[in-house]
Parts: sequence; C-alpha cells; structure tokens
Amino acid sequence: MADPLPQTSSPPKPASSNLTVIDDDGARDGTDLCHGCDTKLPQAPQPSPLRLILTLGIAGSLSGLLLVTVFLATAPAIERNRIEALERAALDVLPGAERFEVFVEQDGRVVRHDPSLGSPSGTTVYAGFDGDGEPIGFAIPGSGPGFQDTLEILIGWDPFRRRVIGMAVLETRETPGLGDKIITDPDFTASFESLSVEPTAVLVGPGARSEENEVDGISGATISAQAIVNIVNDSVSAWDQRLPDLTTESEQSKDTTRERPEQAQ
Amino acid sequence: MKRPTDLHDTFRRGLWRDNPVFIALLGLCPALAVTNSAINGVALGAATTFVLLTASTLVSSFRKVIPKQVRITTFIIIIATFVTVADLVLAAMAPAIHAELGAFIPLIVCNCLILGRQEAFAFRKPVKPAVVDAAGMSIGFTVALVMIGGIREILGSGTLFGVIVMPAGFEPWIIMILPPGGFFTIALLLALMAHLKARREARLPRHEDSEPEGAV
Repeated sequence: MADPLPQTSSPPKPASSNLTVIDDDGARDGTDLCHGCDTKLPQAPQPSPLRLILTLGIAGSLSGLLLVTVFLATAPAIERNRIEALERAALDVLPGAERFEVFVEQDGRVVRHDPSLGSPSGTTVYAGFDGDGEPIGFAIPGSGPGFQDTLEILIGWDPFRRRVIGMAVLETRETPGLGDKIITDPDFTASFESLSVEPTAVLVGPGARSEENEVDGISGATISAQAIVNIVNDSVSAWDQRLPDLTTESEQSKDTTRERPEQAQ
Repeated sequence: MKRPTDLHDTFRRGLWRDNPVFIALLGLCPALAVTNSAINGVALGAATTFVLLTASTLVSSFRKVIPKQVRITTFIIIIATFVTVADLVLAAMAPAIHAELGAFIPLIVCNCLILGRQEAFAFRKPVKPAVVDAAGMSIGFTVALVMIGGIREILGSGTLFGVIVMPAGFEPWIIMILPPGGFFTIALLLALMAHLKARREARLPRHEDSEPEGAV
C-alpha cells in the first residue's frame, strides 16, 4: 500500500512488523497536540486484548443498533412496495379486472383473506373482478428455475374458459438482451393472452403458434422461454383443483350471468 | 493539511488523476457488472458515494481510538453497516432501481475502492481531507461508471438514459450489454486514458507526483 502523499521527511520504518506502517500524519504536521499521548494513541505495538475486544464490541453494538433502527423504519415501506408491485401485476395479468380480492392458502384450502387479520402471510392468490363485479379469474403465483436464477411469475388464470389469460414476470435475473425477452418479446407474451394448458402448454418455434396450447418461442432465449412455459404448466395444475368457485364464493357475483363450465372440482 | 490548495488537489486526485477505475483499477467488479446502462452507473455510483463518505468520515473521526491491530475489522463493520443502510433505504424509496441493481448493492461491501480509501487515507488524516478525498474518489468512480454505462448503452441498446439516440435502422450490438462488452469498453477507455497521460507527460517532461496509488 503506497502512502497517498509523498513522505519526504519521515524516516524509513522498520520492516519487522506491518503494524508499524501506519503512523499519524496529523502529528507530523504539528496539528495533533496529543501526539504520543499514551491514553489515546498507544506507542506500544500491542494494546491489551481487552481494548481490542472492547473496540470491536462497541463498533458491532453500535452497528447493530443502527441496522435495527433502519430496518424497522424501512420495513413497512419495503413491504408496501412489494405488495403494490404484486397487486399491479395481478391487475395486469387479468385483463378487464378493476378490483381484486385476496385469497390465502390455509390448511390445504384456498380461502378468502380476512382483511381484519392484517397483511396476509404465506402464498396469496388474487381473484379479479371487473367493474360490474363479474369474476374474471385468478392471478396465481409460480416460480421455477430459469437460465440464471429462480424466475417468479404471476399467471392470470380464467377458470371458466380454462385458459391462461395473462402472464407477468415478477423476478428475473435472465441475461439482459437475451433472456429478458421473456418480458419484452411481443409474440411470446401475446401467446399468454389466451393459452390452453390441455394437455399441457408447449413451446414452439418463433412465430409458429397455431394451436391454443402453443407458445411462440424466442430466438436466443429458448431456455428462459421454456422455463416460463414449464412454470405456467406446473402452477396451473398445482392450483387449479384447489381454487374456490368464484361464482358461489363471491357475494358480489351472486347475480352473475356468466356460464359455468363443466366443473373440474 | 499544509497548504489550502492541498484539499483541492486531494479532490482532483480522486476525480481524475488517480481515478479509482481508470488509473487505480479499483472496484472493477461493480464497474463492469452493473454498467449495461448509464442509469445503473448513476445509481451504483450514488450508493457507493454514500457509503464511502460515511465510512471515511467515521473512520477518520475515530482513527485515534481504533487500535491498529483491529482497524481492518472495524472498517469492514462500518462499511457493511452503511451498505446495509443504503440497501434498505433504496428498497424502501426506489424499488425499481433497487430491483435493477439487485445483488450489487450488498457487494459494495467488498468494493476494494472503499476499503482502500479507509486504509490509505481516512485512517491517517483529519476529517476534512478525508471527506474531500472520499468525495473526489466517489465522484470519480461515478463518472467512470456513467462513462462505461453510457458507451455500452448507446452501442448495446441504442439509447442513453433510456432515450433513443441512435438512428432508426441501428441494430443494437447486444454483446455490448453482455459481460464481454464491459471488458471491451473498459479496455478502450483505459487505452484512451493511457494515451492522454502519455501525451501530457510528453508535454511536461517532469510532472511531479503523478504516481498512481497502489491497490489494496
């Protein structure tokens, strides 16, 4: 480590210990009145172990105190940001939805979240309704391995038509310029506007989509695109059976005219 | 400090003559990793500036009570604390930028630029020059990140700060926003800096005090 300023006046230091490299520049300048003052700047190369322990102990405690304070101060805002992002995405993947209700998984069943219990814990599912209170579908979460890291997505699922009606990527570290086309590629994302998962959704070549269950591929992002399709298949099959029936569950939709399909209980 | 011009000199040193990225080659990991757009460079530069300024101020203030034997550990405690603070505050105030920078905020802890300034400067100097040094170094670091990010964004995406700057028919060179583009860009910039330095030294045959500082 070179000294930042040229030291023309200082004598060469003994090279026996690297502890002697540090000196007090302020003292050489004559600005430090406490130079050599034993209590503040020990001349002995070995201060007592107690002093070392105390220094690190105090530094660590102050650091911990500051971190806890900042953590507590920022935690509500961070949680709010996370929920806002999730709710924005929930409306995005359910075209036409104007409001939603939160459902949570409880003892293997998906039930309406009671807002009086505060923020929901655990996995949440959003049920979206249009302006007339008609149910549109569910925004269900999904995650799985992508090319770089775990992908987290939100899937719009219409249980009446049994179609995926939207898909949003919540969390991705896919390669910029290539893998991140799963967000920007128009053909790929359009495939999720009405996608059948029966028997399963399959990835086909770019622009080759001809069936309801086919997804247009992305050249240069095959792995990322396949990952999304896999997550969609897995999440829909995992959630489909457990989702509540919106036409009977929702008091707002009692008078619904929307036809119920042949039920998959 | 001995002369009033020294503070000015300390500041300019970090800003340009001993620029942490282009001359001292410190902190190259974040400098290469996040700079696929100019705005990322600004954001990481700002976070690094905050950490370097607070760490240098504290280390310099307490340099007389920190025993030499545990100084590095103490530096790390101070740096890590303020990196975490920056991380939490960014997540609360600017979630979009926080999501973009991802893993690189926590990695500011091991940016050798910050630890290097504590060891080489803040631990030996009074608070005022330490703050000036931290400001110069971190602005120099930010400028370097924005330069690298700007070049990579223009060539790799055809935009600068998100605004389209290249003609409509321009096909982006995707490699520039991938990792190799970072190496290409920094190599070109280093060559340019070396060229400028060689020219300056040719003009002023005896340029005193132009030795760059060593890395940690």
